[in-house]
Amino acid sequence: MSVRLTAPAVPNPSAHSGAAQARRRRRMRLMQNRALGVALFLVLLCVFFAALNPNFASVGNLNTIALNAAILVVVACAEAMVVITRNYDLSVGSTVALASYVGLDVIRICPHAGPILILVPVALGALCGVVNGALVAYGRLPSVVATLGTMSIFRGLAFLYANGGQINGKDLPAWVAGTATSHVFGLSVLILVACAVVALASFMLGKLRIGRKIYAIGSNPEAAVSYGLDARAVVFKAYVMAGLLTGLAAYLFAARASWIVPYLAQGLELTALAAVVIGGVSVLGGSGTMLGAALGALTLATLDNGLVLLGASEFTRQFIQGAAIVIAVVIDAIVQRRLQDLLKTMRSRRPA
Amino acid sequence: MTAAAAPRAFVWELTLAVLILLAAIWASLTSPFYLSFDQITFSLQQSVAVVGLIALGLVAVVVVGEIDISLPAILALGNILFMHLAVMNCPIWLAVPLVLVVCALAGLFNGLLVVAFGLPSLAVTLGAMGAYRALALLLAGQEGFADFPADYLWLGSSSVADVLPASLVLVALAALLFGFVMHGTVLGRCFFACGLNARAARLSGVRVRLVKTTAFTIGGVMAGLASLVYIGQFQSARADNASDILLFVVTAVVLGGVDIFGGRGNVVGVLLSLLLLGTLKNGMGLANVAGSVQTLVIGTLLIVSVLIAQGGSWTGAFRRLRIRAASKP
Repeated sequence: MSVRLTAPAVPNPSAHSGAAQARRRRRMRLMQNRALGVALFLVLLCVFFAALNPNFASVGNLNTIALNAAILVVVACAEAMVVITRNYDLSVGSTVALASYVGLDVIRICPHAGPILILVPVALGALCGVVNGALVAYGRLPSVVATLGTMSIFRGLAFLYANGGQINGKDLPAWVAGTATSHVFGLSVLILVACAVVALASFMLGKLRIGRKIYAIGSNPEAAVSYGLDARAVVFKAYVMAGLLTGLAAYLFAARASWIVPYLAQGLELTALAAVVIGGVSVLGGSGTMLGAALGALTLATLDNGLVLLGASEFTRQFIQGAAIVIAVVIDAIVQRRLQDLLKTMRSRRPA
Repeated sequence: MTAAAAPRAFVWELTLAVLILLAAIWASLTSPFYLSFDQITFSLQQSVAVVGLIALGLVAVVVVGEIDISLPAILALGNILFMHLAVMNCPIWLAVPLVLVVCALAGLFNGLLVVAFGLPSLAVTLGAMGAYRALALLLAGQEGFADFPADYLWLGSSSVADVLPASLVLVALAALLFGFVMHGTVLGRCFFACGLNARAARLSGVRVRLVKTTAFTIGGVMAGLASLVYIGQFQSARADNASDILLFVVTAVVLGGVDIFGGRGNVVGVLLSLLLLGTLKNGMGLANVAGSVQTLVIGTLLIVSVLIAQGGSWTGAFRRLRIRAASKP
């Protein structure tokens, strides 16, 4: 799938067909920039909710949306990284549960070590990513089966470790809860962390070698392998990085929760995948951006918040979330096909 | 393929049979209550009947090279429909076909989306799973329902001639029918052909899209059938019914030797793996193993069984992946 490639600028003798070509190229670039579409949809959504309920646009409410979205943004970036390689991760919810319970228990046991212990849940998340990555990349399991299995395994381990217990947020050092409540320059730390994650992940995927390899594997695994890329190593690394981010999200989850229980974040994989897909990351792999995934997460949080303000039931929201995945996937398929058709016509018009 | 693959498949089934025997021996050693006909059949009915019906439906979908993870959600939808029909005093002979048709339509919808747009079935059915589950919740409200008339409950709660649970007989009959259709009819050969190499199948005149849609529809019907057994077993219907059986179903299919990439597998293996999982669950229940640990064991079994199936022939798996990639419309 070569949809990400911009067609080379070809000098065209005929001015008329040159204009058509430019128009076509513009249309293509517009379709490729799916994040723009998501942002537009988000704005429309906000206008819609603000018109129906004046409380929606209040500063307090917008702040709530941003806070709710912040953690989901981190998880969505993790999921997107895996989806771009043409794989899935159904174990993010369980990874969050395991990493937050065990990680925060370590923090509870040695409270004097200080905030360096944030690395414990992050490392645990990365470890879960290593397991997933090893199974998918080196064990050659289809990612659905592998992560469906680890979903139950990680959750089961969290329950085993908890042994019926739960962690009270009050037993933790003050800096844990402080992570979720403190502000820097008037902005919540959660939001800043989410922004930093999006920026770093975008930089990595867009500019660093490993990021380009991730896109290459997702675009066309065969071509990437023929080109000399080690597909397995790239997929493995993508899972490990996703695990790292999920571990970070696990810490943030725990910092916000007053009780940490092993059944934390159940069904998060569905929400994360919804965010990713709505954000324009193709489930066929190879295309999509971190910014898009983040916007997808923000859209979901806005939708959730707005529907609550309108008094919609929990079930309606769940239904909309499920339907949104299906619709987004269908739109993605249509756009991909259009792009390919456009590419074909552009190539056939090119002078020999 | 047949000459080389047949002995290996036979070995797999033999292994499963030995494992079942070992699991039964382990269970009878850990608990004095295990070795009794009534205990075993009752426990199998509880753990395997619903899952077995859905697993058979999933076999059809997996063999054509797709997956449908929304089947448990379709089951919940079926439960809620039965609930409403029971409230309306609808006779059972009308209720069953109605529910089966709706569930078939749910499966068909998944199939149409996958086929018409060439979408990955996992993403489609993941979204459909959320949508169907929420639809069930919307239709049901938060209240459960536990007032079914006796004829709605018969299938899941009664025994044939006071010996075998009716639901197990149904699973056996369904397996026979599936075995015949999959391995003895043209349709079955088309299923395998689509799963092995969709492009070659299309070029040799198989209507791949039709066959795939049929498989998804069959999955929906089996989920509807499973919902009738479910309400009989639990005598109640709630929209969050069976939200945790997906792992068990997929494990049963994969452990039964069905290739998750499609095109290979047989119904006997799936029956054996159901028996093995049921025996393990029974034994673990009698040994007081916590539910989360049971899930952990099943998850591990899933991964190990696919690892074994994939091991040794990764080049083959990769080649099939490439064929699949090339045959995407």
